[in-house]
Amino acid sequence: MKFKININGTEQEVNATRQGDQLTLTKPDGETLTAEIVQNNSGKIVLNLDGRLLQIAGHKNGDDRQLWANGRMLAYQRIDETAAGTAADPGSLSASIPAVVSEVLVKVGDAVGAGERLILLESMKMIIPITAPADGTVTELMCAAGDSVAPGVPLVIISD
Amino acid sequence: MVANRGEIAKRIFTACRELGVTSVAIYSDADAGCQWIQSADEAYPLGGTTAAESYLDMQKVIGIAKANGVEAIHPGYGFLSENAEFAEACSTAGIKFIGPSPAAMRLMGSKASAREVAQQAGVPVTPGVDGAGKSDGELQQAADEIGYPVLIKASAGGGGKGMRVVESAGDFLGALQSARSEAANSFGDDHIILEKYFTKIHHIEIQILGDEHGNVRHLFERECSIQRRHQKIIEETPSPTISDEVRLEIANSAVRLAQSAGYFSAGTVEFMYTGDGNFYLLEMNTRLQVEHPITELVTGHDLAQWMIKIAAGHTLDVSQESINQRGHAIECRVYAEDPAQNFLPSIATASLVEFPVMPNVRCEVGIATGEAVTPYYDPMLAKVIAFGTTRQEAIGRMILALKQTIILGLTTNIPYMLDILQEAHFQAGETTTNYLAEQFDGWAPSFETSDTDLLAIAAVELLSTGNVQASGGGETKQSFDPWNEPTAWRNR
Repeated sequence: MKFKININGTEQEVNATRQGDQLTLTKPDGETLTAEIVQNNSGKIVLNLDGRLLQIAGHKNGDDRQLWANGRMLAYQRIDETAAGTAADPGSLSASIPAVVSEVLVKVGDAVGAGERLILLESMKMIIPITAPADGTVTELMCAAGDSVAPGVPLVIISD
Repeated sequence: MVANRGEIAKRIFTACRELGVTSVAIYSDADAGCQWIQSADEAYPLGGTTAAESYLDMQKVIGIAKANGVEAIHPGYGFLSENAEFAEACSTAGIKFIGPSPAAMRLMGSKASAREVAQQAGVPVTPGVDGAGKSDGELQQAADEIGYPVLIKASAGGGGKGMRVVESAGDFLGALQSARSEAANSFGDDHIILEKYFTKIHHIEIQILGDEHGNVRHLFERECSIQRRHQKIIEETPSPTISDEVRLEIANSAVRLAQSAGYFSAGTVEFMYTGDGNFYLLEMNTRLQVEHPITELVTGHDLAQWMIKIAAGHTLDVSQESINQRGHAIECRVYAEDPAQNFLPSIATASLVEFPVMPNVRCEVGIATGEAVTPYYDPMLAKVIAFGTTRQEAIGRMILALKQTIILGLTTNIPYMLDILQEAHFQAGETTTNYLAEQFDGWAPSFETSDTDLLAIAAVELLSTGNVQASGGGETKQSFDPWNEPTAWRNR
């Protein structure tokens, strides 16, 4: 996914994707940085970038963001693409309430049929399946079993 | 019982627990459900939201104390801590006030009478004039004689309220009027005093302990020159500025002053040091200070415990010679405020609060994850205190500790303090009370981003961090809810 941020008046585009427990950042020059997601719970994220551990905690309030990363604070805003007229990815699926991913049933590249169960979420002792809205292919998978997920955060993208 | 809130209430509950004394918390509606309350053995609602309706309401405070068999009240700092009327009301109600006598509080709490006591005790005071009963014309003449710049300050004041620096004779009368009205509004007393204003000064204060049997000891100095608008933010001990001779001279002056005032309990005598070996009394604070932990770390004495023991009639059975300064300690006060926006308080809910656990670092914390900073009380969230065998070691440890302090959802002064700790003049110990104005005017946080920062930004966007707040409204939820208010509970 691509998104824009505003750091102290300067706009910057961030191009990043998640495949299972891998997070990849594509820099403007095409070079990529891939880190392993070591931890993602109780408000803290830990990434492993070629053996270097990055401790991260983030705060979101509307478009405002606050980041603590390895002892450093950074405040910035996310620029809302939908407000700017670009529609969110139509195939992106997300949880409707805060939940924990209990099982991921598909992988990237899988062909899926309409109504097929893709991800099982658990919330308040209930299992909530995320199902394919139409026939298609899994192009991106942004969660792994055990993740705490917030409503509206894309978990999987299906395209035709 | 502690008639206070947040980190200092917690600090005193701990001292009580260590002494085997049952501790009692009282809390306002705005504080209901806060974690600091849970450090006490008993907790009772005080009701009210603003300070005046809650922690400043003497009748309510004493009423709850009597109803629950409280034997003594520790006032903490701020609120009722320097209110002689409250100390008297406690004693009328048969409750011990943990602090000095009302008479000593009155004597030393007024800058004008403290000056008189100091002069009798041979403690240097700044050239100046008491404004009581003097006309504006007489005061203008007195200011001209002292020589500009002249400082006008409220006799009952503190925290910079009612204070004006006058640079020239033409500005004097205007400044006098505004200082008087600010003093009247803040303290209900427009009594002001004039003093010579020194431009390069260090704030040096001496910690005092006295008992009810006439023993007074000093626990050395703290240097508190890092101030923003007369509000201390970084304190340390020993002072990097003064020599051992000056240190002893100032400390002995403070002891003489406390003895002349018949002072007991913990107190702090504040001096300005003009860098040339001369020092002058500023004022005495007749209570436990915010920055007391640095003295505890270098002397090993527990000031909160001593206050309780002294109030119980114990003798201060330690000789002056046995009290030593060992190593170096620094305190940083963490405020919910934005130093880049004129120190505007950050009124919001903390979505994540995490303090470091590391050797030789002590954190006194008054906020927890999910708790709100309200507009009703002081926005100080916590104190981070670091100890080292040398000043350099203590500074290094403090930098690490502040970097590992995570407070999200609020803007704090942590990045500002980190920049101060790494600045060359601070590191060299060259810190006058003008330091922040000279070195950090127009400060802004760094916005540079590395590739790993962008990776971290991507992680916040793509992974759930558990700190997501509802978007839209903009209003954060208040931490208190009248339908969800806990009732009094006991923990035996």
